[in-house]
Parts: sequence; structure tokens; C-alpha cells
Amino acid sequence: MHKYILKRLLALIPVMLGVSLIIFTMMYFTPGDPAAMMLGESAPPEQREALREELGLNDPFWIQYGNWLRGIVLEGDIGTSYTTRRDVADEIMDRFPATLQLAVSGVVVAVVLGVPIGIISATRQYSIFDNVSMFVALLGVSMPNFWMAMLLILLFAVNLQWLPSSGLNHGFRSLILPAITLGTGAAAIIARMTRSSMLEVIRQDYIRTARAKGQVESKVTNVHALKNALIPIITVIGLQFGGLLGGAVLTETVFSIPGVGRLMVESIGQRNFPVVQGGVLFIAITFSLVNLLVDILYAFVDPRIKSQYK
Amino acid sequence: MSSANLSKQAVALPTAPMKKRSPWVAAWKSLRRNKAAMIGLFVIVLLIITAIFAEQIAPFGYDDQNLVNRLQPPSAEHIFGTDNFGRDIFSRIVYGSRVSLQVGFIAVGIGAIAGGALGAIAGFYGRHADNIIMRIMDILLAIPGILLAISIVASLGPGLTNVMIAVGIGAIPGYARIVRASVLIVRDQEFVEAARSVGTSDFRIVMKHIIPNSLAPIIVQATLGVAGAILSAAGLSFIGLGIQPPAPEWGAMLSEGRQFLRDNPHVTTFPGLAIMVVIFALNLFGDGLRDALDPRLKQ
Amino acid sequence: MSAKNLKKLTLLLSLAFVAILSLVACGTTGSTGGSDQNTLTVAVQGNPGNPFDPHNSNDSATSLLNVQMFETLVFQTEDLEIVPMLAESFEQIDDVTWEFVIRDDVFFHNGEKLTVEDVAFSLDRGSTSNLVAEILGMIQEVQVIDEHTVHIITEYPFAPLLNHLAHPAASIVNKMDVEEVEAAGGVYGLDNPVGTGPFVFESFSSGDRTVFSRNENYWGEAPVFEELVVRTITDGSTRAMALETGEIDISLDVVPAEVSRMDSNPDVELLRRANLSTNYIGFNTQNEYLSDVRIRQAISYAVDTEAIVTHIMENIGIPAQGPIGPNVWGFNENLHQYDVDFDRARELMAEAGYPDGGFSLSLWANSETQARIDIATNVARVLEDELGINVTINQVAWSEYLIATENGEADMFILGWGTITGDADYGLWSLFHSSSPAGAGNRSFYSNPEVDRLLELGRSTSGDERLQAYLDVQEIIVEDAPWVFINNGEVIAGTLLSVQGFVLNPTNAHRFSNVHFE
Repeated sequence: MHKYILKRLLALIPVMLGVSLIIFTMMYFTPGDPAAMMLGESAPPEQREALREELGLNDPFWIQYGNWLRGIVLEGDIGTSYTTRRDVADEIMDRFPATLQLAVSGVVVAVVLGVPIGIISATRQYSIFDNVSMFVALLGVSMPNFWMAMLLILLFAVNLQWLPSSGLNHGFRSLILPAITLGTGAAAIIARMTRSSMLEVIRQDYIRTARAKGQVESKVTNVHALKNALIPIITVIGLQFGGLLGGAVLTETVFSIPGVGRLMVESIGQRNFPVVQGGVLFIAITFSLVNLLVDILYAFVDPRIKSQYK
Repeated sequence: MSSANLSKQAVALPTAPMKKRSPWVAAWKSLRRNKAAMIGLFVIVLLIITAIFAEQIAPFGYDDQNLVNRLQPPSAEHIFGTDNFGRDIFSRIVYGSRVSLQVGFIAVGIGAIAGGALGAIAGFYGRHADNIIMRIMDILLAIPGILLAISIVASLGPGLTNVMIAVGIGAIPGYARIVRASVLIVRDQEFVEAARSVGTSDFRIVMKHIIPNSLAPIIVQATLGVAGAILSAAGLSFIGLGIQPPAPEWGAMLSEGRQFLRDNPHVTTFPGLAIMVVIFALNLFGDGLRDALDPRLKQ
Repeated sequence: MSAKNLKKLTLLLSLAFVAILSLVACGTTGSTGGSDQNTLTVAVQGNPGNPFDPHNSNDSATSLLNVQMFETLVFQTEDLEIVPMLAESFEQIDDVTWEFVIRDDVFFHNGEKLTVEDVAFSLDRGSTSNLVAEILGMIQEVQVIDEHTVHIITEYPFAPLLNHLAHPAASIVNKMDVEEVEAAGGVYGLDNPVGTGPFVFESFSSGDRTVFSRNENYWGEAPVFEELVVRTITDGSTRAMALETGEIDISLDVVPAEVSRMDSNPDVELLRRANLSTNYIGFNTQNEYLSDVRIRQAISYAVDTEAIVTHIMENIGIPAQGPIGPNVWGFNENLHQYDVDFDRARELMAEAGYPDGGFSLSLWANSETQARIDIATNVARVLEDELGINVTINQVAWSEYLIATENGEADMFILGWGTITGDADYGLWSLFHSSSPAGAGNRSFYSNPEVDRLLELGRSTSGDERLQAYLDVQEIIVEDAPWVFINNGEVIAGTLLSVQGFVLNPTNAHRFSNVHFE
């Protein structure tokens, strides 16, 4: 098992190198000049040239990339923000708690809603509950989450004034609307996945055997079916969680939440390359680690897979 | 209803030449029994008709401004009300269907063609080609889609074409994986080996044997992909990286209307509904298609 | 996996959820507003984009925060009068020499006494900084005369020096503190900026808030409340809602769409004051078509600035009459006005040889500013309908926008200029003097020898002669129409009714130290 984890971690290195190269290349060819951005609308060209030189922006591509990579590898330094002059790591760490809170609460909402609905739907296939909930789930997948966020704000913050419209300054209360926004889409996906993988399992023979042995129906579903259906469900939950960590940009925008996603969008707009490069790398690593964690979880759920990891 | 007839025709046409292959006919038959999928198909056809006949359907142009008449609630003249330039929101949504359809189909086209080709090469030639291509796909998959799209649009510049490219690139790995998987299954089967022994070129083998065999999963993925592409493009517009004004893109309409959310929610309600209905229809149809084409899941 | 394991998993998930929630609850006790009279909470749109170093920052969000901590030799009041601050008195000795006597009773937040050395160090530092050169670049040398007196020598005669010294970029920092940080290889202003102002820096959380405490040893009148919190709330309606619910005490940067709503809210007071900005559509005067003054004038006649101000800007500000606004020193109130006149516009197009238009121009706006995109959307339509000019809109990010307008790629572009010193020189020189590069402000590539002469005259003379030079130069500029003058802006804030004593400053350097609660 340890060997497997180590192997997976090592395999991440070339992928992350690739991610860094891709994002570095894209930023390099992005039009606009960070020096112009920093100096504002009243800077003579000499000033800007001096600043470009100071930032190393006039170096050839490979030198710039090499310098950046060397900083990471040798000094553990992922760079300094062009604008605030703070460490990129500090910038990200200021924003990450908000993103983490969003992702966790979103996934909790998704799991709490999605898994039970999926199970009930599967056990009562073609019932009214099944039809209605699958219809609603599809609706949930189809709703652009930024629009849903706007509707939630309009109803609960503007009209009813029950919940705050933005930020994370009211503790639990401020997480409710963003969590619902992020959670419903994911819940719909999880419910659909739970249902279909439960259905597949239920149809298999040994369930029939269990039933034949006279076990109570609910126990059959819970113990046997869910256990085997769990692997795809966990995968989906893991994927959703990883996605929320890096992809809640729009929700963060609508609720004015200072998360990593917002930071990325702002930094791309500002051509604040070190923050973009560091941030995307950070998100990619987090995302990949979550996926790895999901894979390890498999092993606990299914010993058959565990044996393959040796 | 005339449009319902149209919808049947529109789909019957492309399937007709496929009659020789019975699985397609069977799939279509099973699809026709699926009410939800048919409703989805109906909405999609309606959308296509709307896009084609936008000039005839829309009572106003999409950029007919009248500042004095701004932010009017829905009325007999403007059934969805007007926006902050006094433009008819209904007309803008009608014209916006063109943008959404373009984005949806072209982005998916880019993703499916590029991804399909890469997947085919990876699967067919194996070893190094496979390794390199699939590692690149891993890299693309490690960056969350929306972030990748934002970076690509930033480096290419905003505008419809670049949005389509950005969304399309994000979709490549999905298709590459699907095609590669089907190629791996088909590659070593007898008819391929037979073709090879007769000296058929690799390209012909891929086109004649391998592509048709991976068509079903690609079609399913593409139908759902169109929905995803429309959503992504709307999201990009929402953060100001989409297409240029005054083009009526639904996501951009939502974004521009956000500042009037409190006093004039109608400005955002209708474009939001439009996106939701279209995505919903595509998902209904895509689900039905998957059930029809994938006998394993058929009940 | 058994049912027992499943229960365990559920338990684990719930625990994680509870942990996160309590984390959230603990981390956010500092949010107050309204009822708490010891904390003033202010919300702004922008996140400070630079370190808290007055000489190495130039964005408005950072500037506003710097103003609470740092002070300048002289201060420009909300009526744009120059009054002493850290300098007790000042006097111009000759064309290029100014004498300042500094106060003897001022201490920095770290306990150090303010000295002439700090003054000399700060102004030197500012005059050589890339980020604020346009404010302090003319300072050649600061001579220490005695313990209380410095002489500031400018490179050339520079009449509006006092206005420039009142700018936040001319703030006085503690020499020892800065040198210590920089000697250690650090960037000043990240952790613990030290000024002389009424508020002491406590903490900063990017994208969220900056917290200050009251300076108990302030040389002037110390604030009555203990803590100042400045929050970043990006979205305009969100900011307004935060004020309405009493979550914040003051909302700056009120957006057009929220003005009327806030105005009619009995629980909120809306403060408005004309600022020093002019918003305009600039022409690239080297463009094939726009190099013809008649086409520029035709477009000026076709753009209905009245309607733009009323409908798109929601009546914020007033239609602009020329390049600088009425409250800038040197403003000419008798300028020719391009009141909307389509017939005259078409006449001019015909004279220029394009009676039916038939050519294309690009109109640029930056994606961060919705009002500019809206203006572009409207103007593009009007020019197409009325003059037959085919206008394509290019909406790009600010950093790209600056480059496109600088290298002449943009045929027309929407920008604003704040004459933050309140003096005509700052509002005209960089924008219209032919020696001023596009990157420094002359994005129209405008060049007129007579304008150059008058601007140079304005810089080096004083009194009536100086005023006349500026009155004349505005007439020429308006006639030449390198811009469509759109509006002169307003600074708008909303406060809770309990907030008293808050005064908006047209230069945007609002000070919160005089606020009290009722």
C-alpha cells in the first residue's frame, strides 16, 4: 500500500511539471503587460521598461521558466506577487480557507441530499419518488449555478432577508446559500450515480441469493448493495470535491467570497503571472491529491482492490 | 403541431442511410419510446428553428436601443421586458440562441475531432504515442475546466471564436479517453487484423473500422457535451471573458443584468431560464440516447 | 464494508462538517457594524493591490488605506484648499526652491520622533520610485537646512508643487524603519507599515479586510472610536445590501444602479460630492479617419452625453464641458459645447468626404468597468445609426487595454482621468502635451504646438498669466476634439444614520478619523 501511494505521488511530478509548463506558456503569450498594469495609466515607456527588466519579463521564455522552476525546487519559493509584493504562498493561504469551507460544505450538502435520494430511487425504481427525484436531479444539473446563486440571493437575502447575501462573515449563516448553490449540482450528479450503480448491483445474482435466504429487504439494500455500489459513488464524490476546490470561481464571484478561484480570475485579469502560475499549480496538486485519496479509500471499501496495490 | 413533425423529420433523415446497421435502428426505436428524450429532442429542434428563423421570430433587433424605455417590466409589447438599454429581452434571447448553438456545437466539434484523433492515435499505435498523448491528457485533466478555459481565453483574447476554442480544448481529454478505450477493444479483433493483412492503410482502418465502432459513446458524450459547452461559455461571459457586446449571449445577459437584480429581476430571470431549459433538454435527450445506445444499462 | 462501517463513515463526515462550521464561527467574530460604537467598518470595492508603502503603491484601494496611516507635509481639504499638516509653515523662496518648517510634536507609530531626515528621505524615495514618478518626479533634491527646516528644489519651475506634496504618494515614512526592512532584503509595507497618522496598522487579510487601531499618541485629535476595519466587497449591490443590513457603517464606491435605491432608504444617508475626474472617449488622432478634425467633431456632435449621464450613469456626475471639471483650478466655464446635433454631425462628415460614413472603427473599453462597457454599447449603436460608421467593441482586461491604447491599436477608447492634485497642470499636461508619451496619458497622440506652449507657460508662471494660459488651452483642445468629453464624476458614499462627521474628499483620500457615532 505504501509503495502504491509513493508510486502515485511520484507519478504526480511529471504531470505537475506539465501543468506548470502549460500554464507558464499560456501566461507568456497572454497579451497585456504586467508592468503596465502595475504602473497604471500614467507611466512613460522608460519607466515601464525599467520595471520589466526588474521583474525579469524581458528574459527569454526558457530563462523565465527556468528561474521560476529553480525557485520552487531549490528554495521552495513559488514566487512573489507583482502587485502586492507578497509571497504567492501567503496570497493563496489567505484565500484557501474560504475555498475549503465552500467545498466541504458544498460536498456535505451534496452527499446528504444525493446519496439517500439515489438509494431510495434505486430501491423503488419507477415509483413516483424515483421519477420525481430523477427529474429534479436532472434539473439540478441543468441549472447554471451562478443563476441559481442569484435566485437564492434574491429570495433569501433580498426579499426574505433571512440570510446574508455575501462574504463569509456570519459564520454558519453565510455558508448556507453558497453551500446550497454548490451542493445541488453535485447532489444531482451523486444521486444519479448512486441510483445507477445501486441498480446495477441490485440486479446481480448474490443479492437474489441474500433475498432468498429471507433477509429483510432494507438490510439487503444497506449492507450488500450499498457496499458494492460504493466505489463509483465515492469516485463521484471525490471528483466533485476536487472540482469544487478549484472550480467554484463563479459561486465565489456571485457571493463575493475571497477564495482561490476569485484570486485566480483577478490575477489573470491583472497579468499577475506569479500568482496565476502558483495558484493553478496549487489547485492542480490539491485536485490530484484528492483523487489519490479517493483511490486509497477504494482499498478500504474493497479489499479485492487493496490486494492489487501491493 | 407542425414543429413536432419537423422534429421527427430532422432526426429521421440522418438515420436513414444507417438502416443497414440494425443496432442504430433499434436504438432509434427505443429512443422513440422514451418520452423524456423525445421532449428533450423537441426542445432542441425548437431551439434550432428559433436560431434559423430569429429574424422572423424576434419582434425587435437584438441591439435596438431606446434609453428612455429602459428596464421596463414585461408587457404586451415586450413580453420579457427590456434591459438597461431599452432593448427587448425576448428578442435578445431569440438571437442569443444562435450564439449558444454555435458555441455548443463548434466547441464540441473541436473537442470531439481533436480528442477523437488523439485517442485513436494513442490506442492504435500504443507504446510511446499512447504514453505521450495520455500523459498530456492527464495534465489537461489536472487543471479544473473553468480555470483552464479562463486561462486560454485570457491568452487568446475574448470573443466568440476564442471562447469556442477554449471550451473545446477543455473537452479534448474526455473524447480522447473514450476513443482510445474503444480502439483498444477493436484493435486486435479479427476483422481489423484481416484488413491489415490485406495491406489496408492505418488511416483507412481507423476510418472504416475503428471510428464507427466507437461512435455510440462519442455521440452520447457529445450530446451531453453540448450542454456542458453552453454552460461553460455562459460562465466565461459571466466573468467578463466571453463574447463582445452587443452580441446577445445568454450568460453575458445574466452578468450584465446582475446589477439590477434587486429592482429589476426580470433582466436576469429570462436569460437564466433560457439556459436552463436548453441544458435540461440536452440532458434529457443525452440520457435517453445513452440508454438507447448502451444496451447494458437498458432495463 | 459493513453497516457498522457505513455508520462510522457518516459519523466521520458529520464530524468534519461540525469542525468546519465551528472553524467558520470562530474565525469571524470580528464582523461588526451599526451597533458597535468602538469599531468603524467601511466597505470599498477594491482589494489593496500594492504593499502599504506610499512610494510603491498607486492603486486607489491601497491609497485610501495608506491615507489612514501616513501623512503628508501639507493636506488638501475637501474644498481643495492646501493647509499645513506635518509642515507647520511653507513658503516659496524662488522659482525652484520651497521652504518647509516641520512640526516638532509628531511621533511615528513605532515611537520615533518625526525629523527633517525622515522628510528628506521620504521625498527622495518617492521621486525616484517607478510607481509614483508622475507625482514627485520633478523634485530634484531635498536639502536639510536645520533641525526643523528643509528646502525642496525642483528640476524646473513647477507652480503646482504644493498640490503634489499633498498627494498620498508624498507621504512621510520613518527612515529608520524603512531602511531596516529593506536592508534585510524585505519589501516595505507588507507586515508593519509605520506612519504618523491617526490609525495604526493591525492586520491585513487579502480579499477580505484591513484592520487598524486608534493611534493613542496622535499629534492631532485622536479618533473617538478604537478600531477601523476596511473591508473589500467587490460586488456593488452586495456592498449596498451590507450597508442596509447594518453590517457596515460606511459604503464607499456606491454603483450607479444602487444610487436611487439608497437615496430613498430612510435608514441610510447618501453622500455625494463632485470629484476631480473627467470620463471621456479618446480618439487615436493618427487613425486614417480620426486624424480629420471634422470627423472627430462629427462624432462629438453625435454622442449624446446628456442621455449617457441621465440613463447610463444614473445621473451620476454632470456632462463634461471640457477636459477638466469645474472644481479643478483653471477650469474654463465658457467652452464651446458639442450639444447633440445629428444634422451638424452629418454636415461635418460630408465635408470630410464621408457623407454616409462607410468606414469601420474599433471602440475599446476595459472589462472591469461596467459603465464604460455600457457607454461603448450605446455609442457604437448611435454612430452606426446616425453616421454610418461601423463600430466594433473590444472589451479587454485592463492590462491589455493599457497596451492597446498606448500602441495606437485602439481607434477609440473610453477612459477617465482624475486630476487628483486639483490643478489644471495635472489634468492637462500628461494628456495633451506632445512630449508626453501615450503610456503617460497622451493616448490620443495629440500634438498642437500652441497647446504645448500654453501648457509650458502654465507650469512656469503664476497668478493671472497662469490662469489665462489654462483658459486658452482648454478652448483649443475643445475645438480640436481629441476626446468626446462625457462627464465629470462624483464620489458617492452611503452611511448609516448613526455615522456623523464623515466628509467625502474629492481626491478620494477620505479620512475616517473625524467620524463619531450618535
